[in-house]
Amino acid sequence: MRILVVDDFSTMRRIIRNLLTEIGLENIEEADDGQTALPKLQGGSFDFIVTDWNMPGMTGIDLIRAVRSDPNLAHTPILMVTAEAKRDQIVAAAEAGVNGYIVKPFTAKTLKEKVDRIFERLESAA
Amino acid sequence: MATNVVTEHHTTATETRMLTEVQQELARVVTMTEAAATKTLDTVDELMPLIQTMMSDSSKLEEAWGRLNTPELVESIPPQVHAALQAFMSRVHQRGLRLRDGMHELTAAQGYQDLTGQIIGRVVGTLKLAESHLQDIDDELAERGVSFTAGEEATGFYESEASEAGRVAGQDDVDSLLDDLGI
Repeated sequence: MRILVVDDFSTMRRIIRNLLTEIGLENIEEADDGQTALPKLQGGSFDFIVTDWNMPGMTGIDLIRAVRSDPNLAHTPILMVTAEAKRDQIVAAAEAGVNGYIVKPFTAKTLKEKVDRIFERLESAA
Repeated sequence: MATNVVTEHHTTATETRMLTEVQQELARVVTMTEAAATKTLDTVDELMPLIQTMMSDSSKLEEAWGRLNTPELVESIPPQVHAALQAFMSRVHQRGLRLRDGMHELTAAQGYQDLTGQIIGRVVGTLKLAESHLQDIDDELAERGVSFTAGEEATGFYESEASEAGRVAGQDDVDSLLDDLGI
């Protein structure tokens, strides 16, 4: 599985990378915002995206919308990991097509649970 | 005395409110970084005894192995098993040392919280001074009979209390909302 972690804060990318590695997901690449993430996604076959919301060039919510509107990327599962915790933002992310949503700060256990849940649901929908 | 009305600028009260809100945000940063550093240190405190116990047990095992490791024993077990046992005990000891050193490094790295807290403290001090000066200006202008009308609606640094009311309390609330939305 090939995973793209998108966050403008390098330490957070490292934390997510390390935690994903702990649960056996090791083929991980990084992007520092939606604008650098989108060409990577369009150029390669990524199986999973983990993205922040607030990023300078293109926000996470706009990245989700761009991914969902691209026929080649539309079915890629997306997990949002963000400090944004307002109900209307969570609803907006859901409407944009996110598969899971984690609020920062989070634990390794929470990340594993949400990743497992996303893939369980995808498998049962297949 | 005639009252002069100035309409083109935000009031100093607005700037003062913004400075207060910025200070609150910085205080929030200090609280959050302190909580994070504390959690890290708590975890280190929890793990260190485990590492020490592991190394102590490893030393005892090595001692016992030293007593038992006679030529008769060496002949009685496959050479690769003998070598693997020797190597394992050595590795445990070395890795235990590295883990212990790593925990010390982790502890030292939390010093960022202290350094950033000091910087923020100096920034807050400067902001308080600016806030005080703004208040002085406002008071002086008021004495001279100059008043301001609020032009466009002033926006502060902080979001309003009304928008904060929409904030979920934590991950459980997020999960509940997502369940309601079928995700």
